[in-house]
Amino acid sequence: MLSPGITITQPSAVYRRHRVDKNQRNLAWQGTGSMSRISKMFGDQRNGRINMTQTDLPVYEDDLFVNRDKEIETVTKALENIARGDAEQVRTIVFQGERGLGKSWLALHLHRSAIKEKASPRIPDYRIVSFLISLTPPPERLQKGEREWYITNDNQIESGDERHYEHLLQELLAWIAEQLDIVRTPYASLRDLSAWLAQDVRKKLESERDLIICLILDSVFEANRSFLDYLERYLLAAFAALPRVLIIMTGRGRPYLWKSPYLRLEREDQSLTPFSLEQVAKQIKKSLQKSSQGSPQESPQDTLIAANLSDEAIEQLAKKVINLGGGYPLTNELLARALVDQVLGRSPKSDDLEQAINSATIDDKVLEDVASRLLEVIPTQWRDELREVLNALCVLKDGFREHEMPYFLAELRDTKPEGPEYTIKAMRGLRDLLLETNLGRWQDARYVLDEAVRTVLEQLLKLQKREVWQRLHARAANLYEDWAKRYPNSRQYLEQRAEYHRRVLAEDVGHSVSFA
Amino acid sequence: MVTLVNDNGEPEKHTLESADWFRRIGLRFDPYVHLEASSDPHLSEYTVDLEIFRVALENKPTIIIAPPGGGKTAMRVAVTRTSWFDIGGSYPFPLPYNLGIVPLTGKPPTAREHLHLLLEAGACALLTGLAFRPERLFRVSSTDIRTITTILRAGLPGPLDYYLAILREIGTPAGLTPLLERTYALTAPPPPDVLDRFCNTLATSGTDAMRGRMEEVFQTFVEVVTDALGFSHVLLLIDGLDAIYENQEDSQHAAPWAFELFDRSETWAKSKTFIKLFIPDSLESAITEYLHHHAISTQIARIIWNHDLLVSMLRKRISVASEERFESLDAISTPALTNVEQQIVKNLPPLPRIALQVTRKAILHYAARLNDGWQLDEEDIRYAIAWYHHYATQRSLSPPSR
Repeated sequence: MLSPGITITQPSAVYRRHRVDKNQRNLAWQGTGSMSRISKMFGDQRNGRINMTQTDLPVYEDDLFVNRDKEIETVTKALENIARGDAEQVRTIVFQGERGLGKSWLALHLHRSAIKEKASPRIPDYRIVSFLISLTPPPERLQKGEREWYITNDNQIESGDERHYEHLLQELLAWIAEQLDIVRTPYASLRDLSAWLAQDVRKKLESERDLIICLILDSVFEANRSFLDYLERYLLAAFAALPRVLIIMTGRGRPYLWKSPYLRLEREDQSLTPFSLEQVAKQIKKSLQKSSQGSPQESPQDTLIAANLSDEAIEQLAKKVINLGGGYPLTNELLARALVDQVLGRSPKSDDLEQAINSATIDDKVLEDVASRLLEVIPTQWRDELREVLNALCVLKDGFREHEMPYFLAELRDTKPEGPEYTIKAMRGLRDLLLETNLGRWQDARYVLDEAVRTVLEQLLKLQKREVWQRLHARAANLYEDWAKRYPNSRQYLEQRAEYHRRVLAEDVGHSVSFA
Repeated sequence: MVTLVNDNGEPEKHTLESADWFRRIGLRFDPYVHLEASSDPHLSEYTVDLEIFRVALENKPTIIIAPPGGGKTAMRVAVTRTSWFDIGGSYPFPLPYNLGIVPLTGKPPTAREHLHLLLEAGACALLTGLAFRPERLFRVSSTDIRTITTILRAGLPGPLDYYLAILREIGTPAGLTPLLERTYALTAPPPPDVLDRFCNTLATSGTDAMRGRMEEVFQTFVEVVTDALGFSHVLLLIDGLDAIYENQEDSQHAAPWAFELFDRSETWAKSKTFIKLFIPDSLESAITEYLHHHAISTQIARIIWNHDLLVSMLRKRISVASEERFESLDAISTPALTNVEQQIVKNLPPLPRIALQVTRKAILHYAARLNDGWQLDEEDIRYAIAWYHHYATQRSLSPPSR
């Protein structure tokens, strides 16, 4: 939603003090000891709407949801096939995507709306019961809905403590059993509960022939790998083997290799893609309309914007947002909101708005705020170190391998890649940190950064430190050119990469970096 | 153990355990060390030919054909371990039946002998599996527990109480696998107190062995497994014809060992029991001819290794060992080296065992000169391939799996 009841004058201060992401809330809130007090300061709720600060994460609402028809159709078809009892069924669907691609929104939308409205009418003889299981805590202002289970802030799964995993899964299995009205054994061990649940759900499906169970798991790959082993062993493997169960997962970063045959064999993987121009414009328009639904007294600027921006102006805004952020829904929302706020701050009159938006260029501070939001998934103790690595590598759109890392880190630091900080061992340590946060992954024979994050960081670097950005591209062009000569087996590929970086620099007006 | 060398090529004073060395390159374990499938704890995670995996699990009689060293045992082990991965789900019950250890009488087993041996194999699998997953047993009625106990007493090669005593003494079901069924080296054993309860439950459920005609006893076994214990169906994972064949001059002599089993195939299928026969390609024509002649319906699947599948296999192992951090040795290679796995397999015959051996050789060559500045290089690959060609001309690398 764009700026409902927005606090325009102090966005960054507000952001720094209280914004936390779903993965980071625990850490960020440690020591404050007074969430309710801060919530009162910044999250005043009136008439069902909440005052948001400039960089608040948008919270799912059905009427704000845009796009993803293809994904909803995939789920609907899978449910139809399950109802028909087709021999070859997809019984697990995995939606993968980068930071801010809307995976959690998709999971919520499927659970709260799409299955009911799209799938159920196509198989009217069946009763679909869906469960949303989120492996990260819910966003702060999200109202927990029916049959929704969230990891709580106090109960997150990064610990590596197996007893903690057992406790969590015990809680989850008992909750599912209760929802399905089977197995009431609160004191059973996890192993007993798992065995009983598996058999009782099977019997329930045998006795209720019209029942289809749909488990929707959000943020799966981001979870600790040992926890996923537990999750599979004690819950998913059993459900995956049942005849009328559909498992839907969302996740970011390196995927998890499931061991259960049914989670591997009868699975469809889909990568979510960024929004098109049309979809971004629709997202922005919906957001404006939604925020203008409040009273004009409550959010005068939102009403003003919604009333005065033409479709063409919104499309212009969408273009700017895509250029800066690549079309990722979360980035779209944050950037569009920031741009509008920026324009309103400078030119609050309605007749200037459209022109002001058309001519606006984004402040680097605004982009820095967006980047910071995206990077909140990095644990605080690693954030500075990884931010530097990400800055060094963000020019490498096609990815990198470990031996390339020293050159770019050294270039960023304006030094030579020599000494213990630049050894392969040191690079492997940084690589592992990057992969651990799921902001990097191995893809097509190279590591690639999360594209949503990479795009914003490169734009920011170009905006804030143009000379460094140019040097990094020049470093890349020279390095790949040199390697193309030295390594004839990979010459063509390396020459292409060198050419890409030369082209980027050539297209950059006024650059003054010369090639070696 | 890996010996490191210094910059002058001389051995360093200290050595690294190979596990430490693999950790240094970002792998949790050596993914290429196990050439014998049943000893590899990660085997079920490596499966790359998912279509064959599907066929091996489904409820249809099937013959699965592959050359020696072509992954038959690996597939059988993978099916077994994934079916027991969870605690109580509706997975197939894998019953490994190794014809390679059938007493050699000079003629194929009779139907009764087969049933006797199947019951023994089934009882071994059931006791071992339930010792790892006793929660399945705890859920069934006392009548069914008694039936299970009588079947175990009838089928096990030794007294049930002997095996329960071993379980109590060792405190882990892993103690049973070398005695009863090696492929049942499952993960996530129960806590000792639960295992103790399991032993007590069986020990106090009667002392009689089930009596009756072998067909009836085996049928009761199947019913208990599928109805009371909640398995979806029984897979008779029949392997080892290679081993018999090796003792014969003519492969045709080994085929009749399986004929009696296929004569019962359709009857078994009606009671949720399905033959999965793993054979070398040399036996294909003799067996399929028999099935065709007797109009026995069976699907046939082939494990066909080509270079692409071998590359996938090598990469899947890297992916598992690195916890999906990377899936190719490219990740730890110099810029000169790309498509490492393809470079390895294109110079080798398309057999997984050889690809594993050669890849490991390349990595060990790299390990021996590892220091912080070095990566896997073209020289490591050249060395490993030369090693293979040198030894391949002198002798075969190792015997096929049994």
